[in-house]
Amino acid sequence: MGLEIATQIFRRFREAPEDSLRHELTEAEREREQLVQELRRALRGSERRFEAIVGSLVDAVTIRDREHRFLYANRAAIAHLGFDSWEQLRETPPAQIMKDYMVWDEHGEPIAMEDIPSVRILRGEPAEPLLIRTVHRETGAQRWNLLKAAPLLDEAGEVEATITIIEEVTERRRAELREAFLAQASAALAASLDYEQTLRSVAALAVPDVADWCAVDLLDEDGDRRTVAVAHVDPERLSVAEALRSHMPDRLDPEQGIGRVLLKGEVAFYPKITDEMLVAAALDGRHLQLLRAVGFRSVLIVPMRLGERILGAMTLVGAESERALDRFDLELAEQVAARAAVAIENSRLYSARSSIARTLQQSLLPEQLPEIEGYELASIYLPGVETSMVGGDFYDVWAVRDSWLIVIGDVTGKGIDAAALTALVRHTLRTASEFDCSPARLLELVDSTLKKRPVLSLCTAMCVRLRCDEATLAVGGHPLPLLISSEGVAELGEHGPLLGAFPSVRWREHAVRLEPGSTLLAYTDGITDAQDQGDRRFGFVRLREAVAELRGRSAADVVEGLARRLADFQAGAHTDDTAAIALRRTPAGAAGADHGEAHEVTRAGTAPAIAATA
Amino acid sequence: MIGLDGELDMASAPLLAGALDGTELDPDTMVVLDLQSLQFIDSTGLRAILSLRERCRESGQQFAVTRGSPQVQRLLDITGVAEHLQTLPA
Repeated sequence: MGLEIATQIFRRFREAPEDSLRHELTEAEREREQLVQELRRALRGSERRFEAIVGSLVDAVTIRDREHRFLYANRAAIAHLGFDSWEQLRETPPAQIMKDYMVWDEHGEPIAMEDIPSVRILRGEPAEPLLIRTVHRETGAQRWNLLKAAPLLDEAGEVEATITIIEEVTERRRAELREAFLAQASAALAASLDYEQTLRSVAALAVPDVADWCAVDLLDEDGDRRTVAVAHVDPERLSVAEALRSHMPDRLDPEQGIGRVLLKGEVAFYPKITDEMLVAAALDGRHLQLLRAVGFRSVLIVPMRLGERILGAMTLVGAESERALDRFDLELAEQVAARAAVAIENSRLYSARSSIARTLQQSLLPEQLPEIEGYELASIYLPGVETSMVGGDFYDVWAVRDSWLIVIGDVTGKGIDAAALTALVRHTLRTASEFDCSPARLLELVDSTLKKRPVLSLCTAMCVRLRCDEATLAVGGHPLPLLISSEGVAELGEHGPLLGAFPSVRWREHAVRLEPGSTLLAYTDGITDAQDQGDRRFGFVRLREAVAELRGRSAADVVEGLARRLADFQAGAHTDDTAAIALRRTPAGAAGADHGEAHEVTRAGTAPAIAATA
Repeated sequence: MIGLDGELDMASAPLLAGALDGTELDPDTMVVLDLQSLQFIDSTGLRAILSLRERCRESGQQFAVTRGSPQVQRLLDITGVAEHLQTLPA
């Protein structure tokens, strides 16, 4: 029988379909090719020589009859199946052998006896190579095997027996899975600044390929442990973990388990957890019950640390798959934990910076706009998308004697320097206004203050002085404000130079009478420069159209409507910081009604300049 | 001659600022910023141009720009930058 089988084995084997791992098997293939050659020579030899060759193959080879009884197993197969001798294997019923293993396919679906290639062949089905994961129930050892089977036909062409070659690909498969997990986890960690969400994603990626459970705990500033992620492939089992967490001892034990990891920064690795260990660790009967319910088999906890600082811990658990975690899992966990630590730190630094920036920004804008009798006042400030950067846009409204001063500006630059400059400009304006509240004079004072600074300090500003119904304004390098009246929408004033840039410059003032119901809208170039996703700018034309549609509305409606149109336009594209402030003279009669009677308004959409001083 | 194209804004201004870093400016030459192909500029971009101008002044060099696209030129005009910079014909 030997020779006949041997020829068939290798013929069938060579005809076996391609499989995913095959490209990595060139070495093994060469080896086999050589064996085939040797075998051809062996055909001229004897059954003894067949045994010598197949018997010495590293891959396990078995031949089974139609009842699935072993007719032959080489040495590798005998050892692979956990037996000491061929006789022992032959005496053991096949079902008994299978009982010792739990078997899944590469997608984690349980494999039944009927799915095994040799059994499929007996049913007359084609038998594709099958990648399986087996875990020995007793030892917890996990293996990946590639099963390839071929029929052995009798002279009538009927399947007489099946031959299966079991190639162990555990190391290769686990390396693939670890590599895939490491790549996915690294990408997830680098992609987001929301680290808690990211850690949950990473934990979810780890199961079930790397472990049955994966958990992430963080150590907060007070040294308290906080679990941010627990993942298991079966969501129903998560409730067990939940219950177990509520049984957690309050104090961490620095000598063992997660306490050792979080307090000392050491690795806690328990490759094989026995029931005695669970009994010893249990606080009470209920706790033990829960520990057993999880089915801890193997536990690996690594610190997430940056230098001496321990930020948290990552836990991998082998449980119902009975896998024993090994040194490769340890290496993997350490790599992921190191990346997670960096991601956590970056994110924390970023949020700290964002909160400093927010605080600073808020301190630079009026907490609340004052109420000006006979007027409505409303503003918006839309911070740029880079929330850690303090924007350079600002506005302010304050009263000086018989007047109100309204200023809007944009300090060029970003970050803390821009914030300091913004503060300087605002304070200069407020202080200077106590002595002289002419807008042109105020811009001059800011200009000379900026020019005294050692570094180039630039600012655009538009300053309005409001006295009763008369608004006097001066503009330095800033977009001209818009007057929204019954006449339509018109730009007010004239352009003057940027502040802080040029020697001996002056600004001209323009005055306008604000009719009841008319609105003065001042804004920063964040509005006109805003880009949509196709890189088009919002621009002046859109602004003007948007504002025209908002004519007759309250000051709050105008700024909010503008913000909404801007948001619709940008639709998630990058945003720079943007500010706008609207001052509306309360309409005569019912508040909020569309008024704005035309009297003394000059033609052609230009603002009525009732006074101009140099 | 430094040619600019595309957009000079918050994202790109540091590039202009960095473009001359480490460059020894020769007092006998004139630095010309070519704005013809520049499509867009904002206040940060203006600051970058003015910083460059200041740097040239410190090293005793002449500094000039060429006229920009309508959007660019408009901003240079309304901020007074055009008036205070030597502008060369394109």
